[in-house]
Amino acid sequence: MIDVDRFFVIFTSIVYEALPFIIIGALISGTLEELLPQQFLARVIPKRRSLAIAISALMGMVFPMCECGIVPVMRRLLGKGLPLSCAIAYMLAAPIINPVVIGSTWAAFSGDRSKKDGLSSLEMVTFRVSMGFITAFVAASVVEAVARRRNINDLILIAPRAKNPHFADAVTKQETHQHVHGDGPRPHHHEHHRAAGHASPKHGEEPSSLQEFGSSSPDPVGGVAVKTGSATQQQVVENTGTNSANGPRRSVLQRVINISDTALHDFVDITTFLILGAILASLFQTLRIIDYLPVLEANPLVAIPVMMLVAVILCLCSEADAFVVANMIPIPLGGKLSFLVLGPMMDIKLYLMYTRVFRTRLIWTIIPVVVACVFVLSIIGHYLGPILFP
Amino acid sequence: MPASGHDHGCGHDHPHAHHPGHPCDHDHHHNHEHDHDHGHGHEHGHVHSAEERNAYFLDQLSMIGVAGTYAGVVLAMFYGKWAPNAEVSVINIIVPWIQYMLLAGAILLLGLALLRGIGVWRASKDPHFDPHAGHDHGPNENHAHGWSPWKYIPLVLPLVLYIGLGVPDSRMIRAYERDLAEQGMPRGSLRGLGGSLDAITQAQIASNQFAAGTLGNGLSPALLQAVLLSGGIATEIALEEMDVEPDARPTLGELEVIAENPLLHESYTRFSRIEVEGNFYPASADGTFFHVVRLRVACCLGDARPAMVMCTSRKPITGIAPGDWVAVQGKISFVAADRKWYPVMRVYKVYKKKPPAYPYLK
Repeated sequence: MIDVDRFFVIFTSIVYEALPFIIIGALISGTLEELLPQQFLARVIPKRRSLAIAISALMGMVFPMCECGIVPVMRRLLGKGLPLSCAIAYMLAAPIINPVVIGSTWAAFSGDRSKKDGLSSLEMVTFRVSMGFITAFVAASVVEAVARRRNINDLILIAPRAKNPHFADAVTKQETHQHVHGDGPRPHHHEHHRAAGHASPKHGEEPSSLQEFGSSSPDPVGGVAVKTGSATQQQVVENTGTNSANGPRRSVLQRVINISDTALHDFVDITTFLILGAILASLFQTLRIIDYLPVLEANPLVAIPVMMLVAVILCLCSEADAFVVANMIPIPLGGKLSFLVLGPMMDIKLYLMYTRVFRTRLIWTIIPVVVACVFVLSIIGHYLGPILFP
Repeated sequence: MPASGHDHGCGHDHPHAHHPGHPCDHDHHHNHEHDHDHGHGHEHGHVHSAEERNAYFLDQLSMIGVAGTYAGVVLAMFYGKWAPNAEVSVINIIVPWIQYMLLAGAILLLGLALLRGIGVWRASKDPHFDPHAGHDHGPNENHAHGWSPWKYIPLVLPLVLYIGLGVPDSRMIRAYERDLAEQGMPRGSLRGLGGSLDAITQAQIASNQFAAGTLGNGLSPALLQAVLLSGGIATEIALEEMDVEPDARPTLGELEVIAENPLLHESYTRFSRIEVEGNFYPASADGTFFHVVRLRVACCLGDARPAMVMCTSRKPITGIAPGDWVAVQGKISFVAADRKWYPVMRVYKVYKKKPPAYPYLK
């Protein structure tokens, strides 16, 4: 029986709690879109991909984002030339490896709850961060391997750009400028466009009529790489196109209006899926799943998968989950670790939000890797913890 | 001024020239100049009908409306927080630091909506405005700038709940608080205390026996200690009648922390009188056994969990409704049950109090 009061209180509190972070994410997203040159990130990231992935996974320490805010930002970063694998590493790791969440995990397992599982709060943080890093790195490496073999358009949905006519004006003027110095594979460009256009039904495997987005780079060169049927992520990265940001000067008002266009669009887009996720999460919370968990005492092989499932359906934010799980005293260490690592990477609300950026194929590449990785690491952590930190 | 003068050079591939599924078989290499095209027949492939244009503006206005309404709802919630005599402020469903993030977010959102309003207004003034301009469509899109109402159904749900139905309201929040508190009460789970009786029943019996001055055997020593502390009944009555300042005022969260570490129990058990505050929830019909509960919240009420103290009073507590905010003075002790320590209090005095502006603990 659903308790209506409980449902509505939890639902609204999840929505209004996530709202500021989505607004901030959308604003950052709009600002990045307007100010960062296209393909800018492709030029600045390290050449060695494994190094780039590792750095991306740690970027949360410098640019802390929680899991709700990160989704709109990430799809802009993809548009700015961040390789898909690096974006995945950042997206999966940043909600765990950032100062705020490290602090809250430390606080949750400090004091009386320290050493309940044989680990001090610092050791708990160490486990959570290192497991999060390894999982993000492994998942990103798998994505990298997949991205090398596949058409990038089978994997992601690039974010829409401003629909604003004034924006278009500025861009087209700039492109005109390019034409003057024009070299360029322009006819070629057109062929690709047309081919891609005709191929469109094949790509329509997403069951969503909300999919109004596709590639939209104003940059002809980078744009081709993103759009063409044969392009891979590699090509996208190698293309260092011109950029709209360095184009003719736009007035500050115009820039701000452009930012507002992108930001508002992202806000509406992501919030829709947040709300759908919050409905599901509050339904599950209303069913009082946590009350049945003490049954899981002691056996980590049962507790780990169950706690992973609980993390997925409760959709707690990564700042709060440590406090919740720290109070579940009977849950064995492995179960707690799996809950703390999987929750920020994958839950119902995140799944719905991910569908706005990734194609189903990519999401279902990431999920098994992350789940398997967290499972194995949690078992290792469960048995290694007491040995490492006696 | 803007957008009207598309004086591009030759051979320009205008971004909006590429619409998959669009009947645009014309040569893209035409000299694209809006100023001319619109006049005659528009061989440019995608003729934007008035409906399409209207749909675009409808969509934009819906976005602005939704964003503006969210900002308005948040500001209304804050008005509820700052308004005098707000009993339970709805904004307290989230923790204070996120409340202020939300306030800032709402103001930003309002700004975004205004700016977008300016953008749309400028576009509407522009007869050559083309909703497809400025972004072209990749192969993945099935894109219409249509206004699809169903897209907005989830978005307006929280708004309809708040504006139309007044959800969440303080009654709802109190019901939820009570629900959480009752779930957290160690009803029947104090197995460590022995016997087949649950904790409440035991305490009830102990309390009655205490009142009658006939404390029997067969109850767990720990609980008896909680109920009957020191000295005889005369001392107890004297303590109840004394009007003195408590020795300490720990929060229930602090007590919960202390409870879990037996070495620290001394730091509060040494006091003869401490005061705690929280919501009052009676646990026995005669009013001699009750819980004082405070929720601990990390981010939002969705992750709330109760911290509580079990209280026994010699005299029945009357005139206090379930859920009322109270301060309770008494002597604290701790009982162990089921791998957990619980604080219990022998109560000397209970009085109603105004709840703090933000009632939950970290």
